[in-house]
Amino acid sequence: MVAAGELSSCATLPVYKTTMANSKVSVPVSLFAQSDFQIIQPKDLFYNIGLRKEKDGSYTALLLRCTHADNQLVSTGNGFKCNLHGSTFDKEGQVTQGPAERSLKKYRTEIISDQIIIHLS
Amino acid sequence: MHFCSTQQLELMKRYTIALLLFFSLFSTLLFAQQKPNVTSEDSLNNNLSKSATTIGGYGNAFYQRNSRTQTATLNLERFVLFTGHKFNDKISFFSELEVEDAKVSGGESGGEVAVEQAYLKFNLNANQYIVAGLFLPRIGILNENHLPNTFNGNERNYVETYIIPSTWRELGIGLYGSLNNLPINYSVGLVNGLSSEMFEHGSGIREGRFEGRNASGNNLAITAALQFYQGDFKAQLSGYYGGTVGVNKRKADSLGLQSGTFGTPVALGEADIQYAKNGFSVKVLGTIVSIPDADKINRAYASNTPKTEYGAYAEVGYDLMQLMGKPKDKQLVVFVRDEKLNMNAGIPSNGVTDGTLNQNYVVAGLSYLPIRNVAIKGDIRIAHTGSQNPDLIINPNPVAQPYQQNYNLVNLGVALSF
Repeated sequence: MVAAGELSSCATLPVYKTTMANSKVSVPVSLFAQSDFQIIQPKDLFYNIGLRKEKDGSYTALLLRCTHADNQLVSTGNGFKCNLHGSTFDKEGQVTQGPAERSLKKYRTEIISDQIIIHLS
Repeated sequence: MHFCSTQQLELMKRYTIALLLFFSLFSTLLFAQQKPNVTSEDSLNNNLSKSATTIGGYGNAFYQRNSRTQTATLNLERFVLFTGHKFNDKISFFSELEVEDAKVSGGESGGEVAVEQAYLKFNLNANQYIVAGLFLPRIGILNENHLPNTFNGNERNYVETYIIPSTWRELGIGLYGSLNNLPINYSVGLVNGLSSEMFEHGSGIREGRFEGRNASGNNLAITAALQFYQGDFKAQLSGYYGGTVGVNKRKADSLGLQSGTFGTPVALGEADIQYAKNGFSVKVLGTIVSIPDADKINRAYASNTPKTEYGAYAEVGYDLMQLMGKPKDKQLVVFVRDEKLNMNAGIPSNGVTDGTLNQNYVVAGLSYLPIRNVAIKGDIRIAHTGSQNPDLIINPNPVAQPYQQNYNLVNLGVALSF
């Protein structure tokens, strides 16, 4: 079972607030009608999740946590940045500037009944 | 009677600020300790947030040939170790311990061992956190992000060294956050102020920093910054306003200075823009410092403190590897930067203009990064300054060599971070 959420967004930085249940987060597929990228903000999770629609119709979920010292990342328009030591990542989660050396953690996703399920385990 | 009332008011103000500081920290700690971990979500959080200790660091060394002195030096300029510990997803600790110039030895000048950062970080949610301790407020570009493999040139730019005295760390608390509905990050901070007593001619406000050592709590400062991101473009506005007199009112009165939280203030404003795409990058930064009571500081301490300082630079870079099929990790950046700064752009009536503090530098060079976290750098800094004021010459020619307004520095070095 997954919980439903609410949309709090604008054209430049869509954010979807939701909750977690059983280590899963559910996001409506309809959110991607206008955009191929969405920030997911599960309640009580201290990191956002970046959810991107791929060209083949699948979805990639990235944990927006710096792989250098676990700091939260901020969205920069062309990727993500850690303000602690300056590491940057592109929208695919690849490091574009250190000191981070590892890509962002990815979560498995699947589509069930017009919902994208992100498996956070 | 009137004197007592003013004192009482001042005391009340300070106690109120101290109480606010204490309350902020206490409530944050309370918040952090709420809710036992019983739900599956919490278990998940625990999974994400296993307590962990991280170690990192950075360093740089370079050779420098100075055409003015006809000498060359080799120096391990900085070696810094980060230590961080995440207690859980809500509370972390970060620190940086720095050694400058490789060695500090008793009785010898030079070298420095310093705690550059040591603070607790309290996450409020995914978008907001509070820091408390010794931290680097978001002022300019370099203060917050100064890893030597991420900027061009062996030396840090002089505008963000002398006008913005990076790395500018002070003790206090800060709130950092980002908005959900707009691509904006913000930060506000309350930190100890500067000491005008420690200002030195020729280095602006730099020597007035306490950097965590026995800082005065009588005078405080507020800082704030706004960042705007759009695509490959970033813009920032930041500012600082704080008092510079930490002595008690009686002593301040005798020195003719205004004491109190924001007495004898320093104000600093900064704006910058950055753009990076397909290997092409641009940075432009401008900053101005105002010390309206500089005449009073000069009367008290004879430090020839300026009333106004400003600085600006513009840098353009291009990664030549883009022309060679874009190898993933390698970069070969050719760059040029023009820096202009004047540490006595405005002088009070009792000040003396020093033309040598009106400086222009053109820095050009190459940064080769075989991997992202290692840089091999070569650059030349072409310097031009204003002329010496004869009134400020202590050792005239031939005791000292004539002052050269034009000279250059050739730098070759390596840098890393991890």
